[in-house]
Amino acid sequence: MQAWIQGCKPQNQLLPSFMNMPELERKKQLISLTPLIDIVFILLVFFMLASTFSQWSYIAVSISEDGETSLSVPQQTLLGVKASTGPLPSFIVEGQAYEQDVLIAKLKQQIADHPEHNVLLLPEPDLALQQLVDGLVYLQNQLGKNVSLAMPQPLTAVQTEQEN
Amino acid sequence: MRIPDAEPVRRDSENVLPLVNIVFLLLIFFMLAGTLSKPEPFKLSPPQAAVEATITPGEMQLQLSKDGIFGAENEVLTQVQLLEKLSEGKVTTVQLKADASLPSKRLMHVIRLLSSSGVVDLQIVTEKTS
Repeated sequence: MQAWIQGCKPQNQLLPSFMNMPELERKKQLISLTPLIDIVFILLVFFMLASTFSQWSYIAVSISEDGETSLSVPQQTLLGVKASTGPLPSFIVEGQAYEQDVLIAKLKQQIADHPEHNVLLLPEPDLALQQLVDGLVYLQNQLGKNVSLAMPQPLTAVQTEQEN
Repeated sequence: MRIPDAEPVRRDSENVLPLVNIVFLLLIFFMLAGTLSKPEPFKLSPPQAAVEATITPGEMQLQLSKDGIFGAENEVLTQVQLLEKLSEGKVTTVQLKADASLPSKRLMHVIRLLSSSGVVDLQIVTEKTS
């Protein structure tokens, strides 16, 4: 930049004599950096305010065609999620609350016995989306298997896919 | 002691050159590193999750506030308008950007609504955590 500015300085000794006119020198001095800086500042402020650095990912939930796939309980493992204030939601299976380690062991056992079974997660009505997402991601990571979201009343299942 | 002659006074524009350099660098950084955020009709804080799947631009994005208000393309939509929009565009994939504190009963209501209007692929948008 410095060099460029140096290069732009009037170098009268290099110019032909007819170009050494007073008007030309005045015009050269009139070209100033200030408007350029103004524009660059405005652009900078615009990009600072308008750009975002958060990266978005997603959890895929594929909805079955009719949307009313009824849940056939013998083939599925039903898992209720209770709202809790902890970092992870607590899980309830068949009316009984389990500690997370015990629950994961139990579910893994069930999956080993019946590989065709799906894990269904039935969220409590007032469970916040953040906790639901935490629960889904936790179960999918622990079980290495897709966890479906069960819809309460009417009992419908939608499939969530784990993206790798 | 001989004090060297003071340098001739430099022009004002030369004094701001380092500043201009920095501003240019910042400008280029923000232009390249940031992505322009899409305008949203209301404030949203989507849930955070450590999942890898990155959303692809171009799909229809639907915003959902924690009170169950719908928004799309910087407009607030009523349920009727939303259904019209979905049926008109024959939308099958929807990115749902919902607030992290949205109760799941509202989410389930929305999923049922979307599935009844022909959406087969729903993506719940999450903010990537490291």
